[in-house]
Amino acid sequence: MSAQELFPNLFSPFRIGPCTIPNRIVFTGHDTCLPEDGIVNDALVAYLEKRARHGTGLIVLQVSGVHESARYTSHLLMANDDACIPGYRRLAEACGQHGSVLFAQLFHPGREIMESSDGLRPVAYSASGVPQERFGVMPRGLSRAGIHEIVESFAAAARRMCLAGIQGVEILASHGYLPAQFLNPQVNRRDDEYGGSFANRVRFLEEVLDAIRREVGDRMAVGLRLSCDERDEQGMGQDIAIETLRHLESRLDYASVVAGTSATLGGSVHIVPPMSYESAYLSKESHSLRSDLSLPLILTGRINQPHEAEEVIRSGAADLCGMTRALICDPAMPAKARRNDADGIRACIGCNQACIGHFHRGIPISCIQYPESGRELLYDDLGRAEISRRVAVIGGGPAGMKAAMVAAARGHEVTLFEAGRRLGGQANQAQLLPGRSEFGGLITNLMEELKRAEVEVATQRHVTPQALVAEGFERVIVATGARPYTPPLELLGELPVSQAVALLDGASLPGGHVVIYDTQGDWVGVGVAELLAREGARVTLAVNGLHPGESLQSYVRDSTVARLHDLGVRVMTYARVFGADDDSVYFYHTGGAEPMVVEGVDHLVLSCGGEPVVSPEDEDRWATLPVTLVGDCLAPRTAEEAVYDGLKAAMAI
Amino acid sequence: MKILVAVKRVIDYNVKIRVKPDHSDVDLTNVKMAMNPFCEIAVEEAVRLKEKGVATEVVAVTVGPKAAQEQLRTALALGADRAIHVESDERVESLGAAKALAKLVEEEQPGLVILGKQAIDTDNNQTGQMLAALTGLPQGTFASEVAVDGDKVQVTREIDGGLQTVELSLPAIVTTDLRLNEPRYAKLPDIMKAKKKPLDVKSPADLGVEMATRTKLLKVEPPAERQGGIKVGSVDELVDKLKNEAKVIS
Repeated sequence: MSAQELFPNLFSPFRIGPCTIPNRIVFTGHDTCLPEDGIVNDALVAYLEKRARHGTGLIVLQVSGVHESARYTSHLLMANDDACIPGYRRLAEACGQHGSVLFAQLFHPGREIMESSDGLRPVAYSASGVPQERFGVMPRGLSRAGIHEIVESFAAAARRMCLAGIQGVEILASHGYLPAQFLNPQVNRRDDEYGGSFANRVRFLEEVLDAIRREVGDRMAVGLRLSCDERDEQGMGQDIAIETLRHLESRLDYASVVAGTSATLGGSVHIVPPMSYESAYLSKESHSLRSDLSLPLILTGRINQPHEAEEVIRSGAADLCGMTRALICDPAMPAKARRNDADGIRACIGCNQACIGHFHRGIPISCIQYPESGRELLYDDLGRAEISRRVAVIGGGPAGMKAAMVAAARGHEVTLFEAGRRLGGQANQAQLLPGRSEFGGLITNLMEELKRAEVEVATQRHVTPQALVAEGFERVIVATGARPYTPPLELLGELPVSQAVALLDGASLPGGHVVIYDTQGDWVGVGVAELLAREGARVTLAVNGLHPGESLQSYVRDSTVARLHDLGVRVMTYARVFGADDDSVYFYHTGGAEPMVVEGVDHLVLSCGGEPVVSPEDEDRWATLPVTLVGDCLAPRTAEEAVYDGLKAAMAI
Repeated sequence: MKILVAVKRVIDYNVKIRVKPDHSDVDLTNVKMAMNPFCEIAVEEAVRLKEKGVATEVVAVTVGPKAAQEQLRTALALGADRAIHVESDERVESLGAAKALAKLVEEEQPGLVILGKQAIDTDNNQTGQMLAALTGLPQGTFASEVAVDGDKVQVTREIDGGLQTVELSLPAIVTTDLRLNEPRYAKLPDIMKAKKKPLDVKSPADLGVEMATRTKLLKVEPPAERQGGIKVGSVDELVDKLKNEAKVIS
């Protein structure tokens, strides 16, 4: 079947304002942390060019601050000076040469400022002095002169984008940013012509759009990004979204629909909804918006696969689909779908770890499944090795699978040995936790890639580097993983103690009052807590950190913590386990060494990470062999580091 | 030698005391409770005597509600060997506590009884003295030093303007003052082990003791709030105010 038959809607062109978008796949605006000093650099050009090269229809560039007061992190693009124009021109040319259309987001966060450019607490402006909850910001209400200055800065930034050859601009009224702060009566407490009635609250946006049109006329597409529902008690509901779009429809060429608000922990989950949300979960809201509007709509929100996007468009929920994470994970997704190779698509699993997770840590964007993402300058092409070698990989977890696949793709003759029955390593357990089933997609994707790279896979094979070298393998990559770590425990009784990951292997789950001790703050501790609570146990989750799920990306963490709260899981923080007797678990408070005792306990479950199965003594034994350690057998970390280790080791052969 | 140590559950000294709105009593709802600090000193002294080899067993006792077992567990974690809980939900007066302790002295035959000189909740400073009277044993109160020598104990007492050292024949009653020692903190290994140590629960009836109160609590008042001061313009005004408003001179 051809792509025209499989995806008749997805690959049909669509007109937005003066632009013809070649297909309905949109790479929506998202922070990358690639730019430095607020300007476009080689890394960002390479990152976007790659998505254009493989057939993305519309690329919307990450936010560009329109005014000095719009710096909401220390690493965003700024469009408040003409010096930015050459950088944007490079992007327009890089994307345009492949037929992709490039739009830019014009941005003012108002009070949604994480940190000022020097990392100190910011001076933030908003419609009124109403505090922001998530970053703890108390903004200043804008003076009327300030409002006028910001309106004009939107126009000036649009003019610069137009000069740079960018074909459209998108105003961010989504996620509680400045225009939404004017729209939201809970945030806008003004009593002048910008506050009170809807007509007054929408005035700021009217002025922004009119000023932009004054500068760029019909030469550019002008769109509005809006949350169809901010999904928070302090946010705006769908009624205001519909009223706003209806009111502004005549000034706009399109709308881009999302959900949520940056202002609160719960609302911000929708900025990048994690895997526990269904695919295309905003279709219903988008449908009801469309029944009121004739404006072209872009819909975003967990649309990961071309067939889901096709259905969104076919059903009339939207005209174009934001498939951002799908394209971070597999830049070639549009091309693969077009040539009817859906099985070849590396599907995003919505883990959020390296895309938005990296942004929150201030490091460049990537993907746990595809570490080449965001590193296009290093790994645009895997290339061919000069000499083809016989390569053995020991261990079929994510690190070993990636290493084997990349080595084979580079022209080596690769055999992957796995001691167990199946490939996947710890990802097999990860996918068993509530709301994490999609994590198994990591294995599915890697297995498909192994098959295509023609890696020979030998399961249930126990091998040693010595034997493999003796057999004639020229390089051995060891990826044998980690075993669960048990911290020192003073045990003065008969309380049963289990390893969390061992429970997932299918052993009977403990009931009664279960204490889970978690030093990692990863998906295991909170996941087992949710699992056991759902199975009817009374759960106390004692974490070594400041809060549960501390190392998880915040949207994953906060939606999980909310579910734990609903299930009545009791949380203890700052806990370091000391020991247990028959029915109590004893902890120190890590802040002050005060004892904390949990009584009436039936079972203690440990989630304390892993320890490498390869010892320093093993390393000495293999010293003369061509052995490389990757993944958890080198140092226990996450799937992201494992996959990246595999890539690096295979690129070095 | 066996040492009997009495401990009391009181409001934690770090916590501000609040009075019930009807002034009938101190409000204990959701208030953090702890061992009376003078009792901690008593436990510490007994444990040190055991560590020195002077004592062979330390028995901690409390008279009070079920929750007071927490303080007995603390005493066990600090080093007491076993504990006795005389459980009573009534308001415990000094005399009631002393009578219960006297019965336990009779049963246990300790060589030394150590108590805090007073509890920080009611500040009565009575139980040790009453216990001495009921048992007929010699007493050394307000101890800042305790030295056991054979069948005698020398107790250095903190008195107004100095120190007084008395020598008592054992068995004897000692109450502790603030400078006797600095109590240790309970460590987790000891807290864990304390749970395995024996804790006997008795009722006042088991001991044949009547806990009925002989005093009636009429009213509890928080300390009066301090009035703001004023600035006076002259010596004459000051004298006038002291005479006629404060009425402290005439």
